[in-house]
Amino acid sequence: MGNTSSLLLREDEIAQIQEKTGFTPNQIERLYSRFTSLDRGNCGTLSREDLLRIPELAINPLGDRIVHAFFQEGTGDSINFLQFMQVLAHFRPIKKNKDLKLNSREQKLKFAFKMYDLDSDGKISRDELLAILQMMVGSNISEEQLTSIAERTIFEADQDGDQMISFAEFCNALERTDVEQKMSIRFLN
Amino acid sequence: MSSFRRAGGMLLATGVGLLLLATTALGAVAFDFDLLENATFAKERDHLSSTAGEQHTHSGIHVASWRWDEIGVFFTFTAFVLVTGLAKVAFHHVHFLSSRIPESCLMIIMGVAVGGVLYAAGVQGPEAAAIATDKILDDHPKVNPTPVHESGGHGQPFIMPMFTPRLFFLVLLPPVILESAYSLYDRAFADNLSTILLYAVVGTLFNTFAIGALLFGIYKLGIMGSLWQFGGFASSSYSLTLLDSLVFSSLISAVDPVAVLAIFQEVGVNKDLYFLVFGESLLNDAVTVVLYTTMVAFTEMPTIRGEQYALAVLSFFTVSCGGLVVGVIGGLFTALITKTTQDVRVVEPLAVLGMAYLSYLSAELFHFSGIISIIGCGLVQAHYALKNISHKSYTTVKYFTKMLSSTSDAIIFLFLGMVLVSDKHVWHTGFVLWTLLLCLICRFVGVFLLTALNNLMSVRQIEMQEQFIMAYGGLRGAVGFSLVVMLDGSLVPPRQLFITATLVVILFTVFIQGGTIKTLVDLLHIERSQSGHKLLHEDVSDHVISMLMAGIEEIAGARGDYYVRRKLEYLDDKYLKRIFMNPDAENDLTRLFEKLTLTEHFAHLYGPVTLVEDQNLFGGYGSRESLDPAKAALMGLPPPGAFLRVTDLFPGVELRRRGTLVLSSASPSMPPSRGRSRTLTEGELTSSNLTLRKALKNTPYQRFHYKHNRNLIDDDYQELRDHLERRLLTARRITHMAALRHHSAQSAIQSSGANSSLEGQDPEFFGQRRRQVVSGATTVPEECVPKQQYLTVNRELEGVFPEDLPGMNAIFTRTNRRLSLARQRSNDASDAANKSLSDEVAGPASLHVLQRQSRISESPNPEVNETEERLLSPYHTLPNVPQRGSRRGSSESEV
Repeated sequence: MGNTSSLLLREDEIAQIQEKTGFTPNQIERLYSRFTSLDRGNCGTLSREDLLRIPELAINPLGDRIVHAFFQEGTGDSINFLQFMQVLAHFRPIKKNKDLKLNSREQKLKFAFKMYDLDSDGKISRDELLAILQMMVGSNISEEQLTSIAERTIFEADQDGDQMISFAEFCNALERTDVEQKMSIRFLN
Repeated sequence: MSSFRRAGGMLLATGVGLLLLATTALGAVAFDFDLLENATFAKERDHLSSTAGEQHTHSGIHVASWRWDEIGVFFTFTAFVLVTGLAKVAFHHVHFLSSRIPESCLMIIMGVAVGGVLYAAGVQGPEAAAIATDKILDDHPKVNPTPVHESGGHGQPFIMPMFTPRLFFLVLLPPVILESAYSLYDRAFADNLSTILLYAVVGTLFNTFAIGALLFGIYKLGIMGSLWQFGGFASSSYSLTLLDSLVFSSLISAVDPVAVLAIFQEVGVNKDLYFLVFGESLLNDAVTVVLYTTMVAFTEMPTIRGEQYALAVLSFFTVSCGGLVVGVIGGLFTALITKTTQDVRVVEPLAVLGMAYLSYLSAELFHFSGIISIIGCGLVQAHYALKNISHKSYTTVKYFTKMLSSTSDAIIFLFLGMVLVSDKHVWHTGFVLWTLLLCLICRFVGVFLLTALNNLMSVRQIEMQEQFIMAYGGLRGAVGFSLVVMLDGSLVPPRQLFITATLVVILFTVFIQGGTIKTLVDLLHIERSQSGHKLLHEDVSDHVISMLMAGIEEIAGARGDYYVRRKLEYLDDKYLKRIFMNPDAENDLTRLFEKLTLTEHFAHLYGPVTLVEDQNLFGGYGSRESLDPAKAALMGLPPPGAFLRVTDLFPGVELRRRGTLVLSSASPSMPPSRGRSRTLTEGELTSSNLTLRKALKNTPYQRFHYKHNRNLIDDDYQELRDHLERRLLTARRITHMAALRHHSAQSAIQSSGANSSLEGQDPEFFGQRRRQVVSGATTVPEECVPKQQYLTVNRELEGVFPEDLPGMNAIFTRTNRRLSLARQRSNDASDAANKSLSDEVAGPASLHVLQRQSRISESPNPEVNETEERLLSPYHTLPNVPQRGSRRGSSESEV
């Protein structure tokens, strides 16, 4: 937690992370301090529990999927700081001229797609959509409505007629959405 | 009111309300009548009244008597508060009204109704009394001591208590502020504190001085018309002074944007903006009151010298900071008290509320700001003391403050109604209209300027639509009214004019602005999304993305003041919590967290997947009839024959059921009906679009941060504990369901193949297999799954099951396969990572399992405290599943 020695990152580590993720050194240090404060065991990696301990995340309907997304990127049950930063790099705002591949529109959409794709087969089926909808909706919608909404949504986005939404179809359907802006956080300098 | 009659309960509420109202009126009138009949009516004066002693002329025994003059005041107030409460019930039943019109509309109407009745009955309002006895500052609700005989038998027999500064500041205001302070305690408030302060302090100062100066300037220019011709003033040659106009402007800028929070909730704004408005409305009151008292102090001085302005500025700071210090000390002291109250729980709410009030009073004692003091105290209490006390005491404190504050609110509006219905008003069209206009303009300018400043500096941008709501939602309310009524007519001559103008501003903002804001926002919203028909898919994705971003922000902690915050949190963790909190105070919740989140996490992740994969999320239970009904009931499942409902799957989501609901009863093997994607008509489409949008905005999670909940509607959504318990339930249900599905599928196969009785063999069979799997002795059927990983997940999932549940193995296997496939896929993507895969997976994972196994064997049953036991009852018998060996060293700190 407040262990000051663990707050320090080596220069070359910062440079390496900067190169891979595009964060500025200041941002990296800030996020590193966040990383260490999440890391309860002081072991230099985060586990699923470390993330789930954030109350807001635990009650976020998509919290489990978000946490899971962090761990899919890497391997095993823990992620190190670089992996942590690589996931967060998806949400850097897109700047003109210097486009890193991690925070491109496509990468952002891919991350969002993962939220739906429960069985990670690269397609969103009706049931997956329904499950996601059920996690998110409040009390003022009937079950038939929800089912018909799920079907309708698939129908709208489905282009090849397989009753599933592939990633390409997903992107097409979100053509008009300002994903670049919506899926960006202004990380403090 | 008759239009409210939609439900039986409402009818009852209205009926009782009208009855009480009628009784009040009757009482007042009957008393008048009585007086005419009998001048020597028995008048048992209130013992509080000093001059009433001589009135005791009758000393017989009464078989029946009418004691309205004694009881009437209390009766009126109680009846009014009760009627207001019932009216709220009716109001909230009519969603059309409550979603469009702020609640203060209702309160004002109620107040006016009672005020009208009292006026018609000839009861003197608080207004005249307040003028007459302004200096006495008597706050006890008591009968007017003026003897009836002296005033000719029928003078002022029944006078409502006076609305005095003491009554307002020492009785009515503290509960309202304390209630808000408790609701303000949220991370989002701390995160946005600097912005909130900017709006509350700078915004209010700007409004006060801009309105005051402009009003004075306009008067001087002669555009407004002269004021002296109005008979309301003591001297006919009065001209508005700058000071008077500043007094007025300071009280008129007490904005009460709480009303727009309901609209924010409808629009579904993020929690930061929500707390910005909420925090502003509270702190703005504090600033206004400090400004107001400063201004009034100036009016009391015969001459003002230059240095006194400097002193005034200085006192602004000392009054605020002094209040804060007193409040924080009070809060900390409460924490120390509540550390000792484990055995005498009754003291807990008493200590909390008493200390809060005491810190308010002691701040006032030193001429500091009591409001700021009680805010500080409330926040500190919420941080330490409310965690020390028991859950029940906490609920008591919470509900009691809510009740007190709504009572105070109702009483203030009753007074407002009585002042409104009076014949003393001084109407000056120019002054009133200019005030209205300036209020509106200054609010807009202030909000837009400050927002521009904020958008420059902070991470979070405030959009145009939101700015509009903030500006237009600057309603005036109870505080402004209270302050104006308390003005001293001899010091501020145009008092009556100010009262009238304030009332007009309040009525205008509450009814006209408050009534139209929803429509305007809708219009704005429609204009914005007019660009094209929004697809359902976009709506869904919008919400998925916003939830996702909310989650990512929580993880990244991308907030301002990060370093300072971290230091403060560190300090808090390391020292303050040790001093001010019971060592196990927080652990209740924390332990619940740490024990369960991981198992729940896996259940949430893989439960739905398994169900989805079987393509029978909505199917019937298939061959479920083969399962013993008693056993099924034991598992908390609906009786056989019933269909699986969404509500079973996600109990946290209470879907409204429409008539008899029958979802497709297809057998598990059948894919979901494909041909159903008929083209919906345009009308159906937009309506389902709207329903979806509404449903998405109305989730428990969204409401978690909408803390301003004076009426305690869906109160559970604001408690983390309730959310966690719901989550736990959901996880359990999902896994149950998945397990059962597999069990029935398997048993179907078995019964057809092996032709044996299910009941006899089944549990034994699966139990055995499971034991094998757990002990690691069996060979895993899926060769692609690394054994260690398999076991890891097994253990995680295992915790979710209260007993040996048949069919579990299939789920273990499937989820494991999925997990490993996902890992493989992600690894295949990057060639370089391929080699390290085997090391990383096999190395730490196997180590992990070993640690875990040794842990389990050495600590079979960790002691569980009482509350936990209740929460964890299905789990606590299991080995401490989510514990992670070495990593739990210092995890006793906050959630």
